[in-house]
Amino acid sequence: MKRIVLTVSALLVFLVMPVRTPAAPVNYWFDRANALYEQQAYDSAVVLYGKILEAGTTSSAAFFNLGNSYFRLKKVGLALLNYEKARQLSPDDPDIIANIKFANSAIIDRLPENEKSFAGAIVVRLHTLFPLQTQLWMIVILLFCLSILFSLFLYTSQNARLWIIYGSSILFFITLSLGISAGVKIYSREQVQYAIVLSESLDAKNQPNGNKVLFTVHEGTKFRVRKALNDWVLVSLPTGVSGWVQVSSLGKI
Amino acid sequence: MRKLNSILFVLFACTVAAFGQDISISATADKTAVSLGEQIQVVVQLVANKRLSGNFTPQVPKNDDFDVVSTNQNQNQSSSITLANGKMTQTVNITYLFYYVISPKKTGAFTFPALSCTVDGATYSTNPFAITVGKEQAQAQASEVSASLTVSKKNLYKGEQALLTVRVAQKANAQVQLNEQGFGGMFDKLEKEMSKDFAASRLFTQLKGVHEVVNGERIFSVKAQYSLVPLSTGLLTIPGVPFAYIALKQVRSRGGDPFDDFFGGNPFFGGGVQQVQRSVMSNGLSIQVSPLPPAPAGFTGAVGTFTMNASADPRQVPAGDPVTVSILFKGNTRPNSMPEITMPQLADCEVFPPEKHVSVDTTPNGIMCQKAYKYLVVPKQEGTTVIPALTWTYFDPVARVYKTLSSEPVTVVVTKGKSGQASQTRYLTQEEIRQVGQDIRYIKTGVTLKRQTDQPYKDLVFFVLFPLPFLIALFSFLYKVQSERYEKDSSLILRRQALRKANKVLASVSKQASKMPGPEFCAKLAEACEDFISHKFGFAATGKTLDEMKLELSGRGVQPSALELCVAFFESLDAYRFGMTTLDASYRIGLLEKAQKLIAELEKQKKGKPA
Repeated sequence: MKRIVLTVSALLVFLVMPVRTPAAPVNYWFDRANALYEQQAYDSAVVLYGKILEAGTTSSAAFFNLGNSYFRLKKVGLALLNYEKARQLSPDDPDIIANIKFANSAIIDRLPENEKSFAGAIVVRLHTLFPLQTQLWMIVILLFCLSILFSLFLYTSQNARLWIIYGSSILFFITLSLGISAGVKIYSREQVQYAIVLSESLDAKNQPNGNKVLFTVHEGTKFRVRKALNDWVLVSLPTGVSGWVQVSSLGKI
Repeated sequence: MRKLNSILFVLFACTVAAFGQDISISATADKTAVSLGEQIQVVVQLVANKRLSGNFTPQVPKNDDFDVVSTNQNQNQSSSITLANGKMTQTVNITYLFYYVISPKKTGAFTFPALSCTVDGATYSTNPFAITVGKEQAQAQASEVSASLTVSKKNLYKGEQALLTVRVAQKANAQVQLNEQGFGGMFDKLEKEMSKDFAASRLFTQLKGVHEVVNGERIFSVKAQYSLVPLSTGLLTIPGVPFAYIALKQVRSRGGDPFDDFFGGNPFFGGGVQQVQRSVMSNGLSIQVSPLPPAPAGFTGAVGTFTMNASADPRQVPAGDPVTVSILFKGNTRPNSMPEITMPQLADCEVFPPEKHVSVDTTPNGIMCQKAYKYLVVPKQEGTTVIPALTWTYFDPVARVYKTLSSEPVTVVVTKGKSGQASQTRYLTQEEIRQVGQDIRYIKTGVTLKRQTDQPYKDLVFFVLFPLPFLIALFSFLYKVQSERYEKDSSLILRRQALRKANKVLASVSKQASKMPGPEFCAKLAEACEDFISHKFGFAATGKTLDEMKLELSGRGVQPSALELCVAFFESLDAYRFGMTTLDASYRIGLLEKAQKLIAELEKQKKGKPA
């Protein structure tokens, strides 16, 4: 029995323990790129930040700094693309949010934002309160608590059971809310794809290789990718307007 | 009934014997004397002694005397067995029936022609027969149901809409049935005729009849309307179209047969009313269509009466906020005759593609089409934005001139936008950004890079951790259930542990078998077996005689084979106890094996598995 407990514990420790550590040159490149940025050598900084990302170190800090370098090079589309990638990794980072807002004020296209009701705004605020990873850990902890409460419920007296039911109900509600929110986020990450216009302007056509221009968007505009067909993708703006554009002019987030 | 059958005139029955093949052909008609407007059914019967292949349907030649209203065909097979002089012969006949419903075109007499068909290279023909068409009766019948076509305007311009009304009327007391097939057939024929020169659209979905009084006579009439737009010029004609209906004829027997007199004349028993298929022709129409006068520049071909209206909401906005510009365009023509409206280029405004809604209403005055456009316009500069008047040219057939339709110009007042957004240039230099007191936030420094993922849910840790709470809950529940079972039945634990305990004792005895004194060895073995039996079968085996133990065990369903093993084991022990044998090493091993075998057998028996 003791042996089994030890094995399970070791396995858990092994799984929970962070096993991946970044390679040393990555941090060196990062410091070097930052130094180049300070010297306003933005082109060189872009190359080094890109090297870090190519090495597989997908870090929000690397994406953020790369976005800043592109912004200084007046490539708003690429800047926004990297800011958006950084936001996916660190959704609650205030620096990233501020820079996205600022870069968006420098693009040509102004798309109307959906107005939210008071209740809608609260729901959205709660939904975005915690990053997905934090939410998943909270769900795991809450599920453990619920399982312990359930076990206690089985072995305790009638009076204590009432308190356990109250406590479990609250925990269950919180777990359920967190679960739904996490589910929506996971669905969004798996199913919804966004892209940013990288070319100066981009004509959306009525069909792949079509002649009719439905609308024109400019560098930095973000839209949703709905469908892909060879070198063309069907994109839609928040206004609901859709059209086919060439994938080479886009940067997928 | 014989009388009823005699009403059907058998005009001609011509049988042509085929040489080498048993094929015969004949033609019959239900009557030879009819009134104009009445229909005649001709049946051609082709009988063959084998199944025929290919197209052998007799064709009715085109003629000026009658129209073929409908054709149909059917086939059946019959066989007969003949026994003559002890020889059995089987004959198979396949009958092909071809039905032709014809409607005479004029009064007088005409000859229904011979109909021919070719089978395997040989031609078979029916004989022609005469038909007489009377006048007086025809007029009387035509008045019981009538069909007519009228058009709202007989002089039109190309592209102008007119209304075509189809009216079918019957006298209120007429013994006729108007059915859907009749109307459907008439409309299909009419639409086919009209499609050559007109774009016709139905203005009805369901047919409704009305009762009215015309010239003091009560009439039931059904009206249907079409929107008619001529596509070519000149004198265009719409020929008359037939309307098929069913006339109900009262049949009364006068044959002196009391049975026929009673049942034949009583509708309750059926056969009192005969249904006769009839049709009536509508009048034809001629419409003069004139070409349009020479068109001015910008004319897109729309003919009719149109209105256009443009509006904006709100009329005052801050720069950068959207304004909805609505354009409503109405006219009495088809949607594809109305041109598309496009918003002109607006300076300092961003115009998004419009939201378009097209609706078509079918009214008693014809088709009314409405096109609504909603443009989202975002003014970028403070000041006044004017959406200019939209103009469009069409032909007014009433005034017979080209007219230009123009909407009112719409003015939108644009106030200062939020935080100067509207006047911001595309790229801001660092200097310009500093001037407005803002810049992007500085790069992140002093950070140790870690590989992050935006899909933490794919981490193995969560795959392992998520099921654990559920397993804990399940384990607790199962443990609780087990505990309760043990609490309820204390012997359950003993029963469950009996085999393990017995095996444990036997294993320790086996280890020390050579060192152990004989009485102790036997006592240990007996104790192990007795304890096992006691715990497993729920009775105190210790102290019982062998017979009592056998009785208890057999009472608990233990098979004789196990009982024999039990007896053999305990008798072997008794043999040593009573000094009948010595307890040497081989005897000890034998005893041990017997004990193990007994326990294993009893365990199997308890589990319900025979040894």
